[in-house]
Amino acid sequence: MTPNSGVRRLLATAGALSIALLPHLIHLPAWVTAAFVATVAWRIAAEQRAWAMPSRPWRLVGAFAAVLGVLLQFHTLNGLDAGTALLTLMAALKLAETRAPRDHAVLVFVGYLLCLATLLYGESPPRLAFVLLAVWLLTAALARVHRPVGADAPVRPFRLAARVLVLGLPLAVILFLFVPRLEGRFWAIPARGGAVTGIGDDMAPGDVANLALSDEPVLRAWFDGPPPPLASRYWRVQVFENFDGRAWHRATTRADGAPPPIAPAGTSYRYRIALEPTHRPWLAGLDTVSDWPASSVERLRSGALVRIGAGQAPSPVEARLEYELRSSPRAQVMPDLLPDDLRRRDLELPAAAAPRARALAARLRDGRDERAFAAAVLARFHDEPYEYTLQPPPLGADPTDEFLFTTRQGFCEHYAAAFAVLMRAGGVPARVVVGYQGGEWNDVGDYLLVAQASAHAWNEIWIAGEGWVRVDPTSAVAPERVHRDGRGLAFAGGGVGRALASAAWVVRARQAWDAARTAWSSGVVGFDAAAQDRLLERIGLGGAGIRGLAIALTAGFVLAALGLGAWLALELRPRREDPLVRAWREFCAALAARGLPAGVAEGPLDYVRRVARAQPALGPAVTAFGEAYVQARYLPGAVRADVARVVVLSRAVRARIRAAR
Amino acid sequence: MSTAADARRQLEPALAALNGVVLGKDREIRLALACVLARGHLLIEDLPGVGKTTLAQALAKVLGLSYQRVQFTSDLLPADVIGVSVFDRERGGFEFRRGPVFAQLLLADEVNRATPKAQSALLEAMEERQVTVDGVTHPLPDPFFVVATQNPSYQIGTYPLPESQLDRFLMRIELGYPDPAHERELLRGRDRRSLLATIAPALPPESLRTLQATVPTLHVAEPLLDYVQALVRHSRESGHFEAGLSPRAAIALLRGSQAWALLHGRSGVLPEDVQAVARAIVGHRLQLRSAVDGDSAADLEGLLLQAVPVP
Repeated sequence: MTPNSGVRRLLATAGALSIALLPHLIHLPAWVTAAFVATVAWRIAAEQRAWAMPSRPWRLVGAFAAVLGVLLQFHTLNGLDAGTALLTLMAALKLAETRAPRDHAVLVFVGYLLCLATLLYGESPPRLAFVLLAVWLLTAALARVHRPVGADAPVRPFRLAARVLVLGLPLAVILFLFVPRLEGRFWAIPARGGAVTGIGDDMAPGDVANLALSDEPVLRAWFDGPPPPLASRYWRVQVFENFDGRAWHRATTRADGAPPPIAPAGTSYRYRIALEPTHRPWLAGLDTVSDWPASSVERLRSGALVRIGAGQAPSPVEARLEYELRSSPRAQVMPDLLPDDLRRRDLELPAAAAPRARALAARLRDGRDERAFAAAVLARFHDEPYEYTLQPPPLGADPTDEFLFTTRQGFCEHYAAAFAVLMRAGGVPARVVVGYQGGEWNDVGDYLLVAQASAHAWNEIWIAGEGWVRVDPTSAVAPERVHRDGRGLAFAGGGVGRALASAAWVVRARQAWDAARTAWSSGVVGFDAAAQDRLLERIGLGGAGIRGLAIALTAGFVLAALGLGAWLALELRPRREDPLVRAWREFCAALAARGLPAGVAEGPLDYVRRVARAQPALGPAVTAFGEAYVQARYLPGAVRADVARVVVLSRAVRARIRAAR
Repeated sequence: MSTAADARRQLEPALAALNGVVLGKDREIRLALACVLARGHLLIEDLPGVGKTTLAQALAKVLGLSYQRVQFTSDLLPADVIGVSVFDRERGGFEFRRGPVFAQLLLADEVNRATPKAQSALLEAMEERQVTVDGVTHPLPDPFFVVATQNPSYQIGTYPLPESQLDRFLMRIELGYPDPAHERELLRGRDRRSLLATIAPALPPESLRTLQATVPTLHVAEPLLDYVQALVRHSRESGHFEAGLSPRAAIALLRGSQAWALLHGRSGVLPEDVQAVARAIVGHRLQLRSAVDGDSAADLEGLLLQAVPVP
């Protein structure tokens, strides 16, 4: 091997490997990347200058150093980040001892593993596209390594790799569709920590401000029938009932965990929700969830899923989760009776908290009933100079009083918290509900998209005979905050950005993109056991379970093999035979059967003359055929008629030959 | 088609006349004529006395070409072939005296007896169809046809032509001894020399030029090109030969086949035409890898022509 071709071979492999590594750069420690790059550079220089490779002890030292480094960095060798870092370092070490094609092959397989890891970090279409590109390059490097030395046609390995990948595609699709799905996270990769935004388990005023600036999607909902009107789009996530004077906390669930009595009323909506991985143990549902289909419960595999909105998912939602629900926005919750223990909890205020608010509440209650009292409080929010802003001044030890009487600037959380305190002080059971309000209708995909920017907090007060009634104090201050279906940013910002964000085509493009992403994540990423069952149902193997999958898988493989065989047969089929050639071949075969085979290199006229000499009886017919054949095949001016004449003559002459004895 | 039949009719008398002089060598005569038609040059390799010179002279007579003969010897100088500039005292300058090469048919007898220097002077003239002396280019007549004869190279006092020079000859043929019947006729008949004097031109030079122009335009079907290419490929890939046939050799094979087909009144080339001329055209261009020495034509037949199927 010339040194040059060795370098080129190394460049191909190391290059493909580096491209496979690219998506990992953002989470790999810098020293790992540096070590990899340095090794690649050193190895190529070593190949060019024929430096010695490190000896075995040195390689061992390198391996130990790599493991130690990863341990020091991550405190574990397990997990995606640590695993990827270790894999990268091992690839670098392998590079340091790469000589034979076998070593290149190992490197390429490390590259494939890195591609797999890339998909564990995320499953978006661009990511998949990049991984496919990397796999293509890796396969090309593999093909290149296995080409004979000196056969340097630089394009061929790429073509070969592309062809192999395309041919493998049907098998990949079959495996994707019919390999049994494991529920949940197959890879058992521990969830990655880190800053996670979203609604938490408690609420202190000011928490949601960062959410309002994030247009990350939270959930998408598909409705059977028309979606609910704007004013009803309240998505419950958490209910906060315990107030410590400063922050609101989730109430400890009642021991029995039984769903509260609900009296359905008004329109009900049946819909399917796809919840993005929120890394939080809650689910979301349209207020008020009245029913959850058995399939949905089974889907969640959770007996704990009983109270959506006030309830929890069994564990943090780490992967996209789909479930079905039914909601009746006008349903009455616990209309007749609020048990004493609950009433006590929902009236409780810490003794020292908010003295001025208590006084205000007492003044406003003043013998009014619950509704009138609530209306009075809302009227105060509306009439007094309260301001809705996402950048309120910070609040001190007693946030309620400070907000109500000093700063008077805040957003939904401030108003909801203050409203709940005022209600409780006035003797009305009240609680804070946190969730999302609104949602953008996507025309392209026919679904409702709720983003983090729609995070919202509101209240519920209990009124005898009506149950828990929703009150949204923010709407008293900033009605436009509630009555919009666009994005939070469009509201919070303004000017050019707002104009641009609301231009029709921008909205359309954004919605199309989101719909495509959604179709991808529910159709491909979200293709789970249930979707598999539905698919089996559709191809007539429903209910057969794992056996159905086995049948489908086998049939798929057989079909793929047949398809491949057909393609190969088509590719390798003999070119359609020229009728002249065929006539001549059959003529020769007929004579050969009479013991007069043509010589391998015998010209047609020579052959015909020889036959005429050997079998004078056949002479005229054979000569006529031979001359017609030569005329049509070798001489100028032959037309289709000549060819046809040869074919006809060939039949006649063969009949004569067969007849002759 | 009519032109091809016409050509045959024109050539028929010439063939008859030639056959009347050189007895029993119909095939060789046809090859020589085909060589003229294809505007190639002919190398006749054989022992002295088998009629090489007679054939050349007969060709010149029959075709009505001006004829010159140069006996190549070891002291032959290029100027003896090409011509020489001599000082003209009256005009006070040099004047070019044309050498024998300025004939339409030049017989270079025993070409391998001359030194390579004299050989190459002739061979360059053959290739260029012109000679340049003292910076002045003199075109050679048209048609211009060289018949070179050569003794088998194992005879003493020869300078074998190098392969690159052999390539300049379109065909190489051997005459061989006549068969007994024709030899008897030869012994009984008139002296060939005197017979030659009686031959009248059978083909006007104008017709010869037209026929020469027709040869490259003769129809060649795709399968025939396949066949020529298969032969060439086999010579390169079979491993039986020192070096495969060059593209120039492939063109020569095709031109020779076209001339052969025209000679036989065909309007298109058949595989038989290729086979008929293949030995004459390819024989001196290929060297058997395992050849011990001497004649390898029989092997060539088996290793090339018999090995490549006719498409």
